[in-house]
Amino acid sequence: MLISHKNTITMIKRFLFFGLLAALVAGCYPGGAEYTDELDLVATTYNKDYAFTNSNTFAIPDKIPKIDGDLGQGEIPKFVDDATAKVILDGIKSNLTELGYTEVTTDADVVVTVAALEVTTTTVYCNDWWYGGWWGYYPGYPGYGGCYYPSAYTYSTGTIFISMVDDKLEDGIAETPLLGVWGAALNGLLQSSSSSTNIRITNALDHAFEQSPYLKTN
Amino acid sequence: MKNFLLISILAMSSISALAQDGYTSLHYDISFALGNTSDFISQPSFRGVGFDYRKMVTGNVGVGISMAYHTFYERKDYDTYSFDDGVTSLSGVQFRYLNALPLHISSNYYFGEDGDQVRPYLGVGIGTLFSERRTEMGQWSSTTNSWQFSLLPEVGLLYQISSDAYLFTAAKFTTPFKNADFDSQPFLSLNIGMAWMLQ
Repeated sequence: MLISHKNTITMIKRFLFFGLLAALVAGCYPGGAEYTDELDLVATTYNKDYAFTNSNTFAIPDKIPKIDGDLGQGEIPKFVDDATAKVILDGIKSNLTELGYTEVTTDADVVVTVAALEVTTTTVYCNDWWYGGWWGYYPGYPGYGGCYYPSAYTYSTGTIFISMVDDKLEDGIAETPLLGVWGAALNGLLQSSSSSTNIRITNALDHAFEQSPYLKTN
Repeated sequence: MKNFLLISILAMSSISALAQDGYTSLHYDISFALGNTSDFISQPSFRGVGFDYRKMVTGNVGVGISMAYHTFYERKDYDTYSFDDGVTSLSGVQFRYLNALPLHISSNYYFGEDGDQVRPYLGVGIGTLFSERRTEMGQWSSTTNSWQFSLLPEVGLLYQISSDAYLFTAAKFTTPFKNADFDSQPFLSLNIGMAWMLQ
């Protein structure tokens, strides 16, 4: 009996030791991003057969449409607010100017178009972790199957799409179909503060052009 | 005299239990990425835990299993990554994770004799490494899981601190072999913990 009691104590000690080790490892599991701008992403791609050095001028619209579901015939799309659009368009223009392009309003070698997409995601999760695993196990018993303390969080992500198409006139006729030669997507979490969002947009635009050195023209 | 002999035998049976039975050990592990592993994550892992079981088959040889769980993690500063001969480029901060679960059948040779307070040992294991590599960038992540054939040479030491417990320390070199998913992704783990004699 004494030996059995000692064994029990020993087993408890081992489990406690194991528990401490497990807590040590689980408790400091790396968490990933801590700041919003750490989730910013810039993607670019280009047509490697296209000679950007032959393009010298660009045109760009002064409004940025929002991609917001299907548009009906004749409907006018929603646009990004003017202040934000100015930040985006000015950023694109200054980068293209640095690369040797000149902005024109007609007969541009390339046309740059911009569109924006906002997606809001809501996630619902169960707070009652101590029997969270039962969630859905007993659909016939609402008392067991439900989630007693549901919580939700919502976040919005924004993506800016930029595309550059060749619009050179060949013998006075625009190339048909238009040839896409460069594209960029800037993606990140949206913040309520427009000043920090604008800084992140400007930085992302700069990165998009920095990682596209082939855009440089003569 | 009879009583003295009996007591001596009982005492000897207590301190020689390692040789007769074996032990289980639980340990905290620190791991260092080597080779291809360090190309993916160069930071050492301070998040590791392991378990060993050895059954003594002779006074110096024990066989059993070794298993552990290590999490490697590294935040890569903002950088640009290119694909398709540079046609596509992605810029952002990357968060890289490697969760490694080595499982091996091992055999150890223990130096010294029954009753020694210190028992250094050499050993080798054969088994598998399950690993999950995950790269998070922006709001996306890419995960690859793989099982790799693996060897586990190790060197260690048991230091007896009571009639049934030892301090346990070891260095284990997990050396998985290349498969379709990954090249070899070796790492070195330093273990420190406790070992208890089998009851």
